[in-house]
Amino acid sequence: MEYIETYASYLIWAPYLFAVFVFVGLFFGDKESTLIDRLNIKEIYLHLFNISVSGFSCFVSIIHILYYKGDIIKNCIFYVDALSIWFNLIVTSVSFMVSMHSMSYITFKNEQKEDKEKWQNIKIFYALFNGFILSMILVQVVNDLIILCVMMEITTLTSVFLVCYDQNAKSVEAAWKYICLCSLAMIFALIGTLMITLAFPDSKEATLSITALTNLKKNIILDSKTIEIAFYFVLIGFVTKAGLAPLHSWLPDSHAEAPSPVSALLSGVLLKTSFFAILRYYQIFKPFFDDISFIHNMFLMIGLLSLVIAVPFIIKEQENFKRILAYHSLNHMGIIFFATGLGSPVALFAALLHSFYHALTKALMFIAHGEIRISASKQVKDRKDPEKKAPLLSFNPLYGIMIALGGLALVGSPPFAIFTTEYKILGEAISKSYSQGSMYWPMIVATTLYVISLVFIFGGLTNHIAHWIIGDKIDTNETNGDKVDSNETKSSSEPKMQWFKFNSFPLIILIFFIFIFGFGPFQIFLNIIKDAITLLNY
Amino acid sequence: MLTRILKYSILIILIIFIALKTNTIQILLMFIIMITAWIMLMNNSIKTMINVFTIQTFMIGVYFLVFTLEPGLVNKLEQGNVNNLRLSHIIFSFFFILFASIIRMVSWPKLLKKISTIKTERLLYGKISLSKRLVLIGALSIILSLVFSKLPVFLGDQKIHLILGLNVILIGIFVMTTRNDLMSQAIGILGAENGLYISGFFITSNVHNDVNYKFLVAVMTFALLTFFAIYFLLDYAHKIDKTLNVDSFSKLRG
Repeated sequence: MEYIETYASYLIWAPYLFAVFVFVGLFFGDKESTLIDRLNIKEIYLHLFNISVSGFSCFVSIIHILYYKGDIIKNCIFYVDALSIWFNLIVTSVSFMVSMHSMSYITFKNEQKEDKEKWQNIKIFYALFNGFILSMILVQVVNDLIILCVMMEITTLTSVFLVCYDQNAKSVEAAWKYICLCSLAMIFALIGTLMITLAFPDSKEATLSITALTNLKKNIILDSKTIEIAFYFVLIGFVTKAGLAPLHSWLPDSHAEAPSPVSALLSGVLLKTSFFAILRYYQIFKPFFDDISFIHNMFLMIGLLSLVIAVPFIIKEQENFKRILAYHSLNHMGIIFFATGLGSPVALFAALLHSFYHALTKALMFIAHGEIRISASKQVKDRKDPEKKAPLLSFNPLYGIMIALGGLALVGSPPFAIFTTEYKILGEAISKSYSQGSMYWPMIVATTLYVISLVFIFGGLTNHIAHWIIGDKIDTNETNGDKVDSNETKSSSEPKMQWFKFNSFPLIILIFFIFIFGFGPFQIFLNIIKDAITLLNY
Repeated sequence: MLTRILKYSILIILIIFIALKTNTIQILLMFIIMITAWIMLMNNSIKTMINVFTIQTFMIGVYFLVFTLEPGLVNKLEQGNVNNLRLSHIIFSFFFILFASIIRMVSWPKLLKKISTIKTERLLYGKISLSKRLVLIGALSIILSLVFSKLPVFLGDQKIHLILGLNVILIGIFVMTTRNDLMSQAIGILGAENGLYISGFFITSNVHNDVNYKFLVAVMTFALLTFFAIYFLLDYAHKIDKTLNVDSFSKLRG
């Protein structure tokens, strides 16, 4: 069965590479007659092709986990271990769900008068979309730290065009902020990476291959001071990219202004990919540190700061619901870092599981938000008074229920998945506060802040969602120019209630798994995560 | 165009000739690169900034070439004493100049032509006054230099180049954060990237070829893709607001 593991590690990213080539290829030709026009390919086939690519990749990712036997696949280009496989699953599963949603979102945008011109060319959107996912997967499987940084930079450069795909003032501003911060971040990360070569006693032996760095000869001891400086540089870079405080300012803007499928990818998987990169560097650097506690403390402080900073923005009245969700991503990345900083295998286990659960839940929320906007925007045209705000349940009860359940899952209520990990992290933080038979005050303060932040966030988000679902908060003119043309208003009929459509399919799958994982993760996940923790030497 | 190529070619040949004879040209080039970074920070005209940035990028290319072409290289080449490491750096310099420098230098005038309505001579609004900018960047540069020169971990030659590179990055970040104009912010990012090239090139100067080539890939990716992203974003922004003033793009609050 070894060959299954080997081939699976290639077949996860290969379909995306193929898709990028196909979509770029279809764009070739002169403006009047591109290849796609000449081949007379209907738009629906492009959507289906995109869904099948991500579906296949997700399927291979699951097969890879099922046949996982604990081997590390390494050659001169790729390095695939338990950590990579786990994060591959996060990327591919979320991407599959988002691909299904993209179809309805793009179709809707094409129907809008003001957006039609920008969204007509779906080949470019899908080329960038698949390129973005491909680069994220490659970050997780490459065997060289420089190439990892390059792939990370490519994630920025593909997603920046997706963020500003609507080309309006706000989305361009968000994209500008995103590229300014993240490009600088990657400069720091790359310098930090290169500095590792200076830590070698003999520069001729210096290497940045992950295989070589994780299996260095016993007589090669890297200089811990240089490694420490390198780690600071790398940390600045990837913390910015992971959207953590205090370098998080790109995150709320980009998440809020991007199209819904892109927001789901940014929040669900890009932040986790940056977290993966930090763990990978941690894995390499750890053996050379004299004292590892300063790194854990730093993770803890960054996590706690992100948690606390997110609170007022989530409680505060926000015009844009996606913005609240974006601040919630900051909060959850804070939780993940807080758990990593606790420095125990149980907490890291919870952090890795939380990454997956948060990715699924956040994808559900952004997809549901996108579907609601589509549904509401269509139905407002049929209303007597299109400008009047209305509760979400009056537009589509199913999406209303999904948002309610997703919101509850996101704030960490039982029986949903996030509750289990947040609870586990809390338990671990409390046990750390009473280590060695005495109270450890800084940890007690940190744990208290963690609990208070979670309580406030619970209250804040629940309040927003309640207003949205049964109150009058929904505004179909919310963002990105989905304004309803009042001349088209049909004053004769009330809107029809819609329940199930194909668009609801990803939402149902996501909520099903979020609910199932609330009772505990699958056994196969446990094996992978345990191996990942062993690799990280926690 | 032909005269420009001729002028630059003569300059390069002259510099290479001096470089092969002496090491002082390296110090001179370092000085020029630092000066260009400081001019970018201090001046108040977009056109000057772009020109200075172009000169800086060109000088970095020449700097790499000079560093690679150590004195006595010709004799060593004849005797076959040049190791692979040095050859890989020659290749690196060649590719850097070819891809990063030329693409950037050629593209700027096109960008300016595209965004023709910008008054390139107009004064930029600085968020921070010139004197404060100077004091702040001066203090930070000194602190940075002191910190890095005290560190025992870097080799003698690499230390000074690394400090130079980090200073250029720092100045790039300052150019970006102290200006109220998208164009100069873009130059700030690209200036910081120039700092990355300097730091990276000298950090990897003594290491294995494998690292060198991968850094070359990183440089080309960063140089090409960042530039294209900025190019298109400036174009989009220009369609929305002709002045490209940051104030028109300050609606979001982070």
